[in-house]
Amino acid sequence: MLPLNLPQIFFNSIITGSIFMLAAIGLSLSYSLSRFPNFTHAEYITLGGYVGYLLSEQLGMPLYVAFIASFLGSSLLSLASYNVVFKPLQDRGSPLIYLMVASIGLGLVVRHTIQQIWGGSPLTIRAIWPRWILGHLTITGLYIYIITAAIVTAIALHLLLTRTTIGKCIRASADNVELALSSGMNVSSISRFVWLIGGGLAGLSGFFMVAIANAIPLLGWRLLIPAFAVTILGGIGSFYGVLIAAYIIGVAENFSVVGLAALGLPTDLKMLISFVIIVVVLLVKPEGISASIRGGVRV
Amino acid sequence: MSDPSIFVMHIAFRIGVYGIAALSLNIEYGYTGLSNFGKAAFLMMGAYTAAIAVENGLHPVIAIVLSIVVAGFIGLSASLFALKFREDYLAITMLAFAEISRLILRNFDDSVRALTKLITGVEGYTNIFGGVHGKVVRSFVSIPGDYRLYNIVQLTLVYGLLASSYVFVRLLSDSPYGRVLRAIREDELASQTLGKKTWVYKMQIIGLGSALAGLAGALNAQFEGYISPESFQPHLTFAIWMMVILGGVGNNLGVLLGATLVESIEAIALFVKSFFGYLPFDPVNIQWIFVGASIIAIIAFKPRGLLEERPIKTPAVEVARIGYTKG
Repeated sequence: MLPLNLPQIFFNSIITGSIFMLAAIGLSLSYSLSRFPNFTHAEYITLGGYVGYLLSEQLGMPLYVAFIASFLGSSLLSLASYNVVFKPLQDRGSPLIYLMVASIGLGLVVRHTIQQIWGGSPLTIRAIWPRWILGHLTITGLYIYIITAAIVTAIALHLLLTRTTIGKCIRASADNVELALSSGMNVSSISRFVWLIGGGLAGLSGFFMVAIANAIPLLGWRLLIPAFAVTILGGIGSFYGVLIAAYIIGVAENFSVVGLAALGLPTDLKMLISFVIIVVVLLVKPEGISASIRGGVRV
Repeated sequence: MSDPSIFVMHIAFRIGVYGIAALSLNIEYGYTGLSNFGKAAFLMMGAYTAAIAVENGLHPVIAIVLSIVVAGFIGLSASLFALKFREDYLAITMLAFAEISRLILRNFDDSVRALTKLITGVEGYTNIFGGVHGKVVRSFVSIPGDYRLYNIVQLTLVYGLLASSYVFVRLLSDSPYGRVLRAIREDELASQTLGKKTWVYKMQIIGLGSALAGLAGALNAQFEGYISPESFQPHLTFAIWMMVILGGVGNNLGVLLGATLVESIEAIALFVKSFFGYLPFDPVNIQWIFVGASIIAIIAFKPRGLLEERPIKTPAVEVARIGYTKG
């Protein structure tokens, strides 16, 4: 057996968890507000990655510009897809499965446009990150960026959801759309806001994935199954559920990688963890862990 | 591409194969309302079963039967979830199931090798599924020399099976059994209150649909001559959904029309790609952008498809109608 480098595994779990969290917030909130699983969400992740690549690598801009651009690019795509495609379809009364098929179709449009522009082969950002070694733990500058982004997002969203009117409206509509509508809330403008923010955060997670590994057209699609696992484990529409579930799945995935490597098995199989979590949660407790946190109060 | 007729026959073959796949989704989603987004997995299972059977010297007929049975059995097992899940949960789970099956198939041999070494200490050798490298599949038909005759025999095989599948699905959907399926689609609770064990029907339908998908996968694999896990991406599932929604949900002729149209788009992209040299764009990208955009347009403007579902016409229905008007 390999000697376990526990600090490093936990640290890597935090990195994975942070990326899952950023990727899943929009998916979870838009699922409950617009009431269908949006598969185009994968392409918000991919687009963010490629926009970040364009600015930092092809145009030689500083990294913080690339961060902001990846957020903006994906949030605009997300808002546009809601305004131009999904909202009109919902107004025409399309059933859930049709909306889902439309979201896969729109995803294909976006993904193949990206593939047309940047090609299908992997692209990497050639950045040299500062590196610190603390005992058994290796930390790079990129990891600091990711953790900072996750902490800032979590705190900002917490304050938004608890202290502002729009935040309270988001929580109310995520919990019960009919009730929110009958209380006179403008659910479509709340939805627009959620799609805008959620898409942007997904784009950010895509840029981080590109910085860690590389940019491929299937980038977002690879992250989508873990993101669905986070959404379902956390309870659809629950921000705090996403927060907790993302790190649970981050830890589970990193330990499974270590376990698989120790057994000599292909580490690709780590994806099984997300699948098993989706199936088990849906069978045992479809409302996820959100029902158990905050004393039974959802969201 | 020396002989254009070979190109045409290739497309005709694919239309036949995906016609069977589209019929299988039509009985699942079109009649019963089961949102199976894992179709690619069942085609894959059929394809690999047939490949392994032929490789081990079994007769093609046995290979076809085996791939139907294996895909159907796995479908039956997967349907245990279908009974409990809401439609969107089922869709997500089946989509993830297809991706996971592809992942397992790709890593199966390596995993078996690693586990053998771990348990027995001996470096084993397994090559059942061929991993990422895929598998060469021997054709069901062997006519050396005469390529045209070979293609004609292949087409006869696939269209014969398509015709039998069509007749089967048509009889099924017009029967009292088919009317129960539609009742489940419209209102499951109401069908339960009428004493129908809806879970039995749903299980049978997922099993049946998967079996038909397995048949399509097997036929395609032996014609293409090569399969790998990458041939069964979610694109494939989406294309089959496109055929059903475009052609007409719940209309068997409609989904065959849908299969013809979607495969024709594929054929055009393939034609442009192979007949023109350098192009400033990749026809495959344009193909999927077009397919993705048109499904959105269909859902927005013609959600019931080109050929809409029709009321069932059987002698019994006719008698009941006449009896009603007379009475």
